[in-house]
Amino acid sequence: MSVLSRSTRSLGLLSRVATYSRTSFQEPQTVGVATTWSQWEGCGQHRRHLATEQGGSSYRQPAPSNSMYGGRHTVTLIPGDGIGPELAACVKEVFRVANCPVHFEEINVSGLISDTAAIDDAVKSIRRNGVGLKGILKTKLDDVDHHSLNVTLRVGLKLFANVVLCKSVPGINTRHKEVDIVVIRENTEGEYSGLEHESVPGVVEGLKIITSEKSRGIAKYAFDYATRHGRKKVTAIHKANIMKLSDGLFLRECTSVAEGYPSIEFNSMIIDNCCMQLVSRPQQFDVMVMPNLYGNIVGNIGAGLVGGAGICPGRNVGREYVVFEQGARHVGLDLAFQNVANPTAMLLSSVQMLRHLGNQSHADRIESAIYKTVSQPKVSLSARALF
Amino acid sequence: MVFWDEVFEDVAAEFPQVETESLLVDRACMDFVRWPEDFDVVVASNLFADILSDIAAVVTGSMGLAPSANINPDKVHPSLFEPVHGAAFDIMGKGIANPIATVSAVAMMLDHLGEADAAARVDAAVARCLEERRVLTADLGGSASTSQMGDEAARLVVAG
Repeated sequence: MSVLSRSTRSLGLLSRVATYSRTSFQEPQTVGVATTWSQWEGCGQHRRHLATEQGGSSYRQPAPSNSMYGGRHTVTLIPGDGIGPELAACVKEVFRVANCPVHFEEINVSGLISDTAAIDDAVKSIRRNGVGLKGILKTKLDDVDHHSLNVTLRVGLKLFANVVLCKSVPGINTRHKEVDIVVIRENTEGEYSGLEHESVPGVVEGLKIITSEKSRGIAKYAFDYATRHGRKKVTAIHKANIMKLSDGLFLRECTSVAEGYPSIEFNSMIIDNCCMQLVSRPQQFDVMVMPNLYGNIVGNIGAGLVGGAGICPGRNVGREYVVFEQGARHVGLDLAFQNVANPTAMLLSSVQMLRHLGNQSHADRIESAIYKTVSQPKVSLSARALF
Repeated sequence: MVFWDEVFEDVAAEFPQVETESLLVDRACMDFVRWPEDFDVVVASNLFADILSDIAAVVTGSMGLAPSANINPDKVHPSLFEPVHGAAFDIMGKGIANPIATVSAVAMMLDHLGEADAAARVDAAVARCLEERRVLTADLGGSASTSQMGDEAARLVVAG
């Protein structure tokens, strides 16, 4: 607690949130950019069918929370490994000070120990509650039998879409200004199928799985997201010139789905050119949709453009469940327990979660406090500590 | 067992004087954007290096500056030298493309052929052209044409 207080107090965050909760009947001052941020997510207060522009339902938004008792939502919290527990403690403290009506059901899962029971508990808990907030679980590289628990969670809960919000934050000085990109990544197939084999010693083959169903699903999610949030353009990222069958299928499905949304501009770009364009002129991008591995890379480049993994919020969305986490998924084992990790991304993810639960006023207060804190010139985080 | 890392460690053991580091590609991409000066030589598999080299080309100033080489080390088959950037059909015929990437690719080719002095002269001429900042194409903030910048580089090679 004392370590946490020092870290968040050094950001001035706790005091700002406390001020807002005492004056709970006043409208909080919104920083210009914070107002724009608050448009991003969530009127998740009821199920609704979203129509394509030419009719027909496409994507049904999850209900905000299955577990709500006495006006308080119960949400699964998985702190994770590395800097995860510190960031989770930060979120809990901010929520406590802001009197958020959220109860955290904490499940401790670690990728550093082999414990399948814990991840099963986590999946059951999220199924029960409907909403989760998680840190990143470490995946051991040198154990071929150890599968990523993050992937297990996403596949088990069918969280087919990963959304990373890469938006420039006032007060964080970066090379490129006014970046505002939404990276939508297919979350359950592609290069992360985990199907590799070594038929001949020294020759490893890996299978990349691309299906019509999941390509169409993620494309529809991207266009629905763009429609819901007033975005103008969707760009599909691929390498179909080389991977003609797999990425060719993905691109065809995206193009086909785009025809149902004539007022949203659609274009496509090859992944290497896309990375070049991101680094030279990122302002040209709006919503981007892509298969799993490219999403991992583009999401991290986007995070790097706006200040690092400590800045961008993210979420994993399925048809029944949604799990919020940092956009750029890094465990940060080398930063753990040093009180240097930037809690901004985790706090912004928790704000997105509050909006999803329908707690707009609490979300506005915390988000406004975050922006005011980060934009203060005297709050200086070393470039490395921005992680 | 991570196949790639295993092979990398085996080869690294033969060069103990070279410092090595292993990064996941997503972390590498983020660090390329944020702290590119931390990197020296980067080795990666086909798709990852395709992506990383394109990021690196822009991070160093412009797509129009970075050369590349596709090398057959045994010299049994020809090696191929080319700029990192693509065909750029959108600016074809306008005379604004930066020729330096191609010129620097020629320097790499001369080096591969064993003409180290010639390669050094071309590299030095390119460096002087960029330092003097008098003749630059639009991607570098200037207004010179492709041929003007190429002529300037040639003049600096001759001038030594």
